[in-house]
Amino acid sequence: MGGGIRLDTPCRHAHDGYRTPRSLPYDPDMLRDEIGSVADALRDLGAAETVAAATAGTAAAVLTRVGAGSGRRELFQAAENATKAVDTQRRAGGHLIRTAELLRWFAAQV
Amino acid sequence: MSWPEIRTAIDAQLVALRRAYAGWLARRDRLAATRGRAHHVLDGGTSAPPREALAHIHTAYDIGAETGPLLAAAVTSIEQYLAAVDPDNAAGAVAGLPGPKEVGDPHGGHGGPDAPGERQPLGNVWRRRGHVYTEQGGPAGFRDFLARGAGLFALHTDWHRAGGHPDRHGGATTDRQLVDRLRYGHDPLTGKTVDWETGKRHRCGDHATAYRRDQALAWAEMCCYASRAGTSARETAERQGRRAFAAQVAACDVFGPGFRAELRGYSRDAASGIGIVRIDFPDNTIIRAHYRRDVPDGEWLLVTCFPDIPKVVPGGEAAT
Repeated sequence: MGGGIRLDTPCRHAHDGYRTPRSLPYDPDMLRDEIGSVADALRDLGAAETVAAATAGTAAAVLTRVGAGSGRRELFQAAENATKAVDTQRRAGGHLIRTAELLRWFAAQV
Repeated sequence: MSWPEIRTAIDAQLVALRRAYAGWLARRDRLAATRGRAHHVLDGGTSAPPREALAHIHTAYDIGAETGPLLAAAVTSIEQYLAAVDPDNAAGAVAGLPGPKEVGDPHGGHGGPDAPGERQPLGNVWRRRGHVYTEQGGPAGFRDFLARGAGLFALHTDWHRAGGHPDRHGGATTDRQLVDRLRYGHDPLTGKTVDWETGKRHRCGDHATAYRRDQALAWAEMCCYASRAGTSARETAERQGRRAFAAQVAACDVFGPGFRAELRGYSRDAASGIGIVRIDFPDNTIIRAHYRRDVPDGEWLLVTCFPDIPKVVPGGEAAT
């Protein structure tokens, strides 16, 4: 899973306001709950992304069908962008769902 | 598809894509917050899975960054389409349109006292309401135009008559005029060999054609102008500052497979070289429209719009 991802790359984002790792709770139950909670959130976000991709896919199909009879370019452009959006949503959704599954597994190991 | 069907379908997708964009914004915030929580929980992990999970979350966040702009661009394109095709949300009605203003210089009027006098071109006030018909495609759009486009048709006729000469190909042009045009080179407007537009000798090709009704002429012009070929030719002419452009579309795309019912005409008898024969329009019949403008950035005026048959050149390919 996640071929090509560099695990030794430090995080590029600043996360001010959060506790440092040293202050993490070491109670396994608490840690499992926290990881599970993150996994649930990621799973929901991934599912929502997949649903949104379906919406954009429907839009792309309808716009393509209507645009086929049009002498203008706008509907084709709209359909093209909607199709690209479907792709990004599916990919992002897939990443999130797989990450949720990974965290679920990891939580079970804690 | 009828215009109400097109409009309903587009409106529904516009709403869906706007909601999708709003949903993307909201999910973006939630994902950012979840990413922060994930760091909070997992940053201390020393094994691979937590770091892999964090890397995946960042990847998903980066990929998702492209979604919003794509959805917004799709929405913008649809809005641009509606603004161009039905800018007044009038669905093809003419109510509220301003009266046409005079544009350019008077033209024509040659051929003596019996010929129509010179005509003053008028500005195009109806085009912005005409797209909802052509967007429905050939036969369906024509049916809708016939059913409820009377106001637009009247404006189109006035505009065409002022800027061009529908008298050569319209419904009122008689078969006798078409035959005399071929046989004697008579301009239907003057009844003589004098060209009403130029005052020079009137010219006619191998065919003299007309529509069976003026509505068909108006519709054919609208289709030529709105076609992709017409749009491309017009945009090229405008980019290059030219004062004329021509467009052509297949007659079957304009009127459907029954296009012959809307057309009539005569040809010189190609076999004998003499005589005139009634045209049996072939499947590859086209509609040609010619436009001009008096100044480089002026309004496009319709010179003529007529049915034509592509010439067959040696090798069997139809020349257009």
